[in-house]
Amino acid sequence: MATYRVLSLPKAGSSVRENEDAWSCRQDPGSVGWRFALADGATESSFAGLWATMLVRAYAQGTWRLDEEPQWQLENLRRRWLTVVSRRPLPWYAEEKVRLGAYATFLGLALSANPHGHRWQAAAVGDTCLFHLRGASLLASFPCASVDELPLRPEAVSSRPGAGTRFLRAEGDCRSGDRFLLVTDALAHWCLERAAQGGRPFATLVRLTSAGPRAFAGWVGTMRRRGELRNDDVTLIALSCQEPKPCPPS
Amino acid sequence: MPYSAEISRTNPSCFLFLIDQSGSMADPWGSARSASGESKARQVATIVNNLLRNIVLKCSKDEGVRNYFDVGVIGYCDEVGPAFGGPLAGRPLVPVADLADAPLRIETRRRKVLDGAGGTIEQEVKFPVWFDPVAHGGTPMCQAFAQAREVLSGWTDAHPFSHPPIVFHVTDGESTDGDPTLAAESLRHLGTSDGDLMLFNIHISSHQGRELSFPAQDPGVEDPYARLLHGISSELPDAMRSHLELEGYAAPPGARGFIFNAEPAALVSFLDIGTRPANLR
Repeated sequence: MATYRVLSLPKAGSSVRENEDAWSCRQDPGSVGWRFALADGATESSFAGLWATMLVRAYAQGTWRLDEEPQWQLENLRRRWLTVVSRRPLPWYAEEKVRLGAYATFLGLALSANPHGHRWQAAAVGDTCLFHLRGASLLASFPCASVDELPLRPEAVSSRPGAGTRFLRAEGDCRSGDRFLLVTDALAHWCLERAAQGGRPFATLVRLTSAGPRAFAGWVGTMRRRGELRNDDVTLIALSCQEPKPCPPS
Repeated sequence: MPYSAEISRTNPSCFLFLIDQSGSMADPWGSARSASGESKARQVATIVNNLLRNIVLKCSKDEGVRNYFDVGVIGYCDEVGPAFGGPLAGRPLVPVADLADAPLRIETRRRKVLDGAGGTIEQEVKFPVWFDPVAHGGTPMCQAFAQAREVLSGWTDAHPFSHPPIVFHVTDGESTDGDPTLAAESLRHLGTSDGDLMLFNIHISSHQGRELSFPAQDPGVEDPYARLLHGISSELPDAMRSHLELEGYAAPPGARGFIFNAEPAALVSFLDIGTRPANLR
């Protein structure tokens, strides 16, 4: 019931391995549907790319349900992160960064189908954003609806044991042909700013999705040089809802 | 817009600390309320070592420490020169990765940290030390500014498009080698395409007195020394003023990077805000 494409680039001057955005998607094992996740590891923390990757995989695989209380699945992830980063002896500064923990913003989107149609449910921490489009119309912008709502210091999911996590949630109906764009903060800022100026940023991103990675890289480079797009890791997941395929005859 | 250059491994920036190590730095620091009994020299060394530690941590990533900054400490007393000890001795400026890997020693200290449940707990942390307190001799401030200029003119030549260097000058006394105004002006005239070098002056106090923070115009005090230090301090850029105002300081447009009669807490917060990168990539 969904087709998707992902485009991701590191900061200018950084290597692909240094890109701390992470994404994952999977057909939901529990229902007829999909789970998408996008996370942005915080530049100030160490091993944040690993933390972001662990979060998106756990969400997409359904091993991290965001509504569980107490959050023992998240605590399990935190223990695993600590085990992985502590495998080798670390210099004093890396040891201290591990103690301070890694941070990542997070956005999860679940699409499901039922006899009445399609439904989407999203949960977010921080400024990784989702845009729900029907044709040229923007139906939802979550968790930030305008540039003013993008926080200066976004909340993030911490790898520190016991740290609180406050998810914002949204949901709605969707139908075949609808698109969802999931973007990390630099692109979210550009979209919301352009939309406020009367531009058509979402049409641009849909076009770039079709054009492919080279066109996307060229566009991002131009926007960065012009100062219109902040030099940050940038990721776009573009997905289209489709009618569920009928089950093959058994 | 000045002071907006991206700070990256290809375009690093630079911090230089000029530390007064004259004899009067052996006196206790702080008002009766805040005094710990420790000398000014010892407390300044702790504060600057802690700041260097924080700069290393800001630059530390999975694969190691990224060279976003070159950092130096120049001390002045009977002599003027680089103040790092151990493997870095004699080097006026070092890339932050070298700083990370070559402290003079690593001590274990206890500090209070948040326990995640609304309280605090004491925890042992590794505390690297790059330079030890020194307190003897005079206050050759003109020579100190001249040496800073010599070190940083090479740096600005090598990094013409970088965010310009920031110099933090910490002193408790009057210059003993003449009026430092011209030497300070000459230092401030260095710069890059992103703006002039910034010189911030912090006068620390041995006795109780009104603290004067970030005045814009004439500081309005009788003390000729306060007027002199105010006059040679750079204006704070807007981003730094915003951070200071968030921390509760009044820093109006035109405010200068200058504190007179500073208590230890004021030095800590100004250094922390002054070294907070706005545009680290």
